[in-house]
Amino acid sequence: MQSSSSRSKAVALAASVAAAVLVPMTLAAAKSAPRRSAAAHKPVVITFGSWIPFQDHPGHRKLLAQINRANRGRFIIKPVYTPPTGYDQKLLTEVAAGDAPDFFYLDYGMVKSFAADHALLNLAPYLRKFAASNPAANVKGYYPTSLQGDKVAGNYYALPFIDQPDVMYYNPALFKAAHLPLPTPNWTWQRFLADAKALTVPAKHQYGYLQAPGWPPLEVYIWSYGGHMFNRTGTRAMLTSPADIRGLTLMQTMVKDKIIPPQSAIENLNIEDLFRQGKVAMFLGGANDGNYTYNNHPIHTAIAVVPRGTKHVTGNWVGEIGVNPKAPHAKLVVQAYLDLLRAYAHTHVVPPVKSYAAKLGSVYVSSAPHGHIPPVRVPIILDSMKYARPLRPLKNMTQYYNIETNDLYDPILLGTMNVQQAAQKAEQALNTMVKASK
Amino acid sequence: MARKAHSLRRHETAMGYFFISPWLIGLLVFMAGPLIASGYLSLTDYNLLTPPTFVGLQNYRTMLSDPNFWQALQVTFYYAVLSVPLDLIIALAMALLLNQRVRFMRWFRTFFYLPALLPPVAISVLWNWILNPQYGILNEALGFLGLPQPQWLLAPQWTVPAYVVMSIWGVGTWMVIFLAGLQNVPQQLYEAAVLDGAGVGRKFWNITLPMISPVLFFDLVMGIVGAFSYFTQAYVLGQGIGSGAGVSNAGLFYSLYLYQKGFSELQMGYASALGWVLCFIVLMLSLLVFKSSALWVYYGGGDRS
Repeated sequence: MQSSSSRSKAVALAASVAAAVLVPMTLAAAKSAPRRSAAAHKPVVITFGSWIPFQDHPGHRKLLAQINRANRGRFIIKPVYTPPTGYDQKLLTEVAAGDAPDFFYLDYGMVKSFAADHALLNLAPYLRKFAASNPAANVKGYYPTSLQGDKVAGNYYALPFIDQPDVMYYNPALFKAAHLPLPTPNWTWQRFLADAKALTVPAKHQYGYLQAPGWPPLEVYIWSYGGHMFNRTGTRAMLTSPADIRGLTLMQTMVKDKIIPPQSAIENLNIEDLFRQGKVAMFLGGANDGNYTYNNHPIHTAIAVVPRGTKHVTGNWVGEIGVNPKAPHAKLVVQAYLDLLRAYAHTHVVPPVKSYAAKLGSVYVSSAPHGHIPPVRVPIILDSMKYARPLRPLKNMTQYYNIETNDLYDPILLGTMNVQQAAQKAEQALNTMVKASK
Repeated sequence: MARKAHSLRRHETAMGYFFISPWLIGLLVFMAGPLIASGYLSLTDYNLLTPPTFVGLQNYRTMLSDPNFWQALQVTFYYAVLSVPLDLIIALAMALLLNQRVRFMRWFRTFFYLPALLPPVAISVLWNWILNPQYGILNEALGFLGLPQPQWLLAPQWTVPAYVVMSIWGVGTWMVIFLAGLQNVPQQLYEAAVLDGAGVGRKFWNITLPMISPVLFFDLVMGIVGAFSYFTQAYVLGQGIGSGAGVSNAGLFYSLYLYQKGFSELQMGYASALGWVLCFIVLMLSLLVFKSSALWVYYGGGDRS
C-alpha cells in the first residue's frame, strides 16, 4: 500500500516536471507558429551587428530610419549592439554558434580568416548584379587600398564603410605660445622633432607629441623612410633593413628627446584625451576622430599631413562590413547591406567610394562645427588619402600586434633594448609567425 | 516476500536517482561533457568556425617548443611560490590577532574581511591605479618612507611581485577559515601548557599549529589551485600593457595564455591541450600535498582513517 502510494506520488511528481517542461515549450511553439505564417506578409527583419550604440547616435539612427522607410514592407534593418571591447571574440562566438547578425562590422584584417572559414558570404554574384544600380556595389569606384583586405581568391567577402587616413592633429594655441610656425605640407620628421621639443614644457607636464605601445602605429615611421614590415610576397619580415631601422630610430629619438610623456604617465589613460586637454601639442589620429570637442565643449584643434621622411606616407584604418552566409533571404540581406553602405558614405570620414569622397565637405559629422568638416581640413584629408596605406592583412593579426608590442613598442619606449636588438627580435618572431601560418 | 523487498529496493533506487537527477544532469552536461569534449579537442586543430581536425598529439608536441608556454609556466610557478606561502602566513597572522579578546573585535574582523568581498574585477581596477608608478598611492607611500619606487606593471622584474602584493588584499577568506580553526582549539590545552611553563612561541608551535594543521592543509590546497588558475586580475591588469600580458609577457599567467590562445587566436585545440596540462600539474601538486600531509597534518583522535 505504502509502495503504491509513493509510486503514485512519483508519477504525480514526474507528471508535474514533464508539464513544467512541456507546457512552456508547447506555448512557445504555438506562439511562434502564427508568427511564421504571418512572416510572408510582414517585412523581413534584418539584423545588423556593430560596435555602435545606435541609441546614443541620433545620426546613425536617422540614417537607418531613412533606409527602413524607403523599404517599407520589404525589410527592416535592426541594429544589434556589441560593445567594442572584445568585439572580435564575441562576433566569432556568435558566428560559431550560428547566431551572428545578418551582416556585421568587421575589424580590419578579419576578412581573410573569416572568409577562409566560410563565415562570410561571397559577394561576387551580388556585386555583379547590383553594380549598376548602387555605387556601393561597384568595386571599381572604391579607393583600391580600401579593398585590399576584402578580396580572397579573387572574390570580395566584405566591403569597407570607412577608409580613415591618419593625420597630425595639433593645438594651434600651443604652437603660438611657443612662437612656432604652423605645420606646412612639406613638414619633415626632422622639423617635427624640433617643433615637438620646443612644445615640450616639463614643468607644466606638457609634451610635444604622444606615443603609446600600439598607437600611433610604428609602420608609419617605417614606411615614411621607404621601409616595409614584410617583403613584397609577405614571406619575410624586413625589420632589420636600413630603412626600417631609420623609422624605428625615429620612435627611439622621441623617447631620448623626452618629447613624449613617459609610459608610466599614460598608463590607464585615454591618450587622445591628453591632446584634447592641451597636455600634448600634437597627436597622430584618424581623420574621422575630428577632435572638435572635449567633454562636449568645443576645442580649437587643427590638422596637418603626417610629416615626411624620405617620402610622404600615412596609415589608414579600414572598417568593413560582411554578410553572414547563413542569413536567410540572402538577396534581400545584400540589398539592405548595400543600401546601408551607400547611406554610410554620407556619415563617415572618408567614404571609401571615391565619388562620395570627392564631396567630403558635405559629409555629416555630428561633432563638427555646423555638422560638417571645416573646409580647411578637406584638402588635407584628401591629400592624405593619396598616400594612405592600410596594414598588410594577415591571417593572424592578433599575433602580429602582440609581436609588435612585445618586441618593438615596449622595449623601445621603455628603453630596455636598442633599436637593432628590438628589430632583430621582432623580425625573428614575425618570420616564425609567417612560417607557422602557411 | 523477498521479491517484494527487492521491488521496493529497486523503486527506492529509482526514486533516489530521480531526486538527484538535476545534479546528475548538471554534472553530465556542464562538467563531464565539456571535460570529455576538451580531452578530444586537445587532440585536434579546431578554430570554432570549421569542424575539428584530428592531429593526434601535435598540440602537446607544439607546447614543448612554444616559448610562451614556458613563459606562462614560469610566471605562474613564480607567482604560486611567492603568493601562496606569503598569503597563508599573513592570513594566519591576522587570524591570530583577530582571535584575541579585545574591544571592538567584531568591527576589526569585519574591517579586515571586507576586501575579500570585493569582486576580482573591481579589485583589479582599483589596484591598476594603486600600482601606477607615476601617480599610484603605493609608490607615494614608498616614496614617503624613502624606499625605492618600482615601476611595477611596467617593469618585467616587478610584474609578478605586483600581483603578489595585490593578492594580499584577498587573504580575508583564508583568514576567516583560520579564525574558525583557531576558535576550535580547546582552551584546556593552552591552560595545561601554561601550567607546564610554556611561553607564547611554544604554545603556537606545539598547540596552535598542529591543531589547525587540517585548516592549513585545506588552505594550502586551495591556494595552489587558485594560484594556478589565476586569471581575472591578470586579464584586467594586463589590458593596455604590452600585448595584454604585461611588458615582455611578464604577466602571462597560464590561464591567461590559455584564454588568449583559445579566444583571441581561436586555437581551441591548443587551448584545450593547455587546459589538460594545467589540470595535470595541479593534480600532481595536490597529490604531493596530500601525500605529505601524513607528515604534518594532525587529525585529532589519531589516525585519519
